[in-house]
Amino acid sequence: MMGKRSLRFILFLGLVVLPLIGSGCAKKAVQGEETAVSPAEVRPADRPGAGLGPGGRPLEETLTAEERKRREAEAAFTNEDIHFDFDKYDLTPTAREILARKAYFLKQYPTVKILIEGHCDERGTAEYNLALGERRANAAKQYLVQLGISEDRISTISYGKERPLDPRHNEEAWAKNRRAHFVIVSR
Amino acid sequence: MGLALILSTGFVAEAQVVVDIFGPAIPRFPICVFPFKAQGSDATQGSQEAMRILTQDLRISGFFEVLDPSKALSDPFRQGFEPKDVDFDAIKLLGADIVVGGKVELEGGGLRWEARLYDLPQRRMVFGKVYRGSANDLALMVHKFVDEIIKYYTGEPGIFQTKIAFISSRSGAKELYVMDADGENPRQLTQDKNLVLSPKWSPDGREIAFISYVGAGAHLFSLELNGMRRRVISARENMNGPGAWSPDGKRICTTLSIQGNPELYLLDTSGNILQRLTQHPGIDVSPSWSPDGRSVAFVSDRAGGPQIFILDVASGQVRRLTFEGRYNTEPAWSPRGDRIAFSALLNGAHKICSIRPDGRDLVQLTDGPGNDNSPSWSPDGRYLAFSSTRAGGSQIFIMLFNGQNPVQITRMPGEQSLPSWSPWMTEK
Repeated sequence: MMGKRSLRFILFLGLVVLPLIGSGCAKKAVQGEETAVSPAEVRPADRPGAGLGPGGRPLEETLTAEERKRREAEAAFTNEDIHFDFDKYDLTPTAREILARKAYFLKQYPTVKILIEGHCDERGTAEYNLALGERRANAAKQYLVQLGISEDRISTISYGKERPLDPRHNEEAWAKNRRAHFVIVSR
Repeated sequence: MGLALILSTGFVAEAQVVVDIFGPAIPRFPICVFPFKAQGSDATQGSQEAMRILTQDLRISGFFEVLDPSKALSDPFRQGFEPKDVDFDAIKLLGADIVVGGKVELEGGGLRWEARLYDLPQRRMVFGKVYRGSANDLALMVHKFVDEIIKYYTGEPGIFQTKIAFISSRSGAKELYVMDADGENPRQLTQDKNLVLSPKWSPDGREIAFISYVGAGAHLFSLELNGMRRRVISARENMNGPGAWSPDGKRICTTLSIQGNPELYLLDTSGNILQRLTQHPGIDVSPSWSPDGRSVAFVSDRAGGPQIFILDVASGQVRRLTFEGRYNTEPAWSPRGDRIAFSALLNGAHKICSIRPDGRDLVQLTDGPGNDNSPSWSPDGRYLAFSSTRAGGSQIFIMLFNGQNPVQITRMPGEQSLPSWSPWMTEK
């Protein structure tokens, strides 16, 4: 048990935390922020509800570095699904790594509430897949809770086999479709 | 529609051959339907529709071999429909034992359809009926007539006045629909524009329970068909449904996941939890009641992959029903109690099978290309509705209980799935 845990921790550090820190300090991102946003335009966007910069310019141009970073983190959070084996709802090592990154995000932004959608591939039957998708979403939720995320920030829903990401009927599509997808419901 | 009148036949209940359709061989009576005479050109469409639906229903019933009337030497009804006027000689070589003829006329803004059934070997009229109603009632008139024919020859009425609820993606989103048991009159009942699944009839035929993703979650609703009033049965966190009404209509067995794991619960019809039925870390879903209300067949992965189990409701005892194959789901307990239909994954495709509730006598009922799913019994236990992709997109089919005579009854765009056969809608 001890060995497993420490291995997990090292994995967490190596695969999750370090790349996150790395990407946060990436040169490109910093340069982009500096050239696109002038200090005068920064402040209005800090206030909640400030949609437009002075002169009605689009929001994108008035983002603070902080907000920009947050949006990137949010995009990373919602764009990355975890995947499952056929008719399984246990978490693969890769899924655990991804969930650790998601837990890190949720700790960084403690007001965020999320919905986890459980999905299946098209091969099983509709009602069993509803339950299977429910188990998948719940497996992801339980792991986030284990990583210290409060249960009341996470809700789940199962779509069974009803919302395939890839409509094709082959192994590649099925593998993509057996997933838990993460949605931010409030910031 | 107006009530059916029985034409005087001079027919006394003679020795009528009623066959046991659950016997080893299902009879197929050779029958020939002659085009109904249209009285006036306005009645032509009604006449053709009556002919089309009657022929279709006789085929779907599985008890008749429908013969081609154009092979008759001449029109047997040119002199009229009274037995003395019928030219039986003109049709004696058709090979038919049963002949149907009649006429359609317009009457006071509606239709009058007169239909008669003749016994060819005995050269007599068996019965005749007059139906009156609006043009929209024509399918119902034909259904009543077919049900009478089936009752006469098999001892029990046909199922053509029952309904089948199902899910269709025709509008772009999956919604609840209902149609006649032969596929006529499909009607969309929900406009939720998201996702609707798993319709299940209440045993009195007045309500359909279903899952809808209309709000923030996947919740269990019920729709009252008289007035189309909808109510929430369960909108708890996580899973709500599918829900199965107990045979007495007082309880609903459903899957809830309030503790983070799909378990079977017993609810009252308002949705209050009466009892938790399963206690297991695996999946428990798709309940189907035995007709005596004592047991529930359901799907669980407690043995690895999905298999069918039977729960004794009073004791909570669970026993495994299916052992063959790795993916057995969608149990449907026959209203006669003697069999449980389900879908099994065989060589990479789902097929409909049935098994006795004691686990013996496993029979594969469907074969061929595509997936066959979601069996649902007719209220007499003589038929199974199911969805199949054998013809391309998913459509609803019905077949006899033993797998014979599968007939496609929907031809709608999109995907048709999850059929649920209604109980009897009329007095038997």
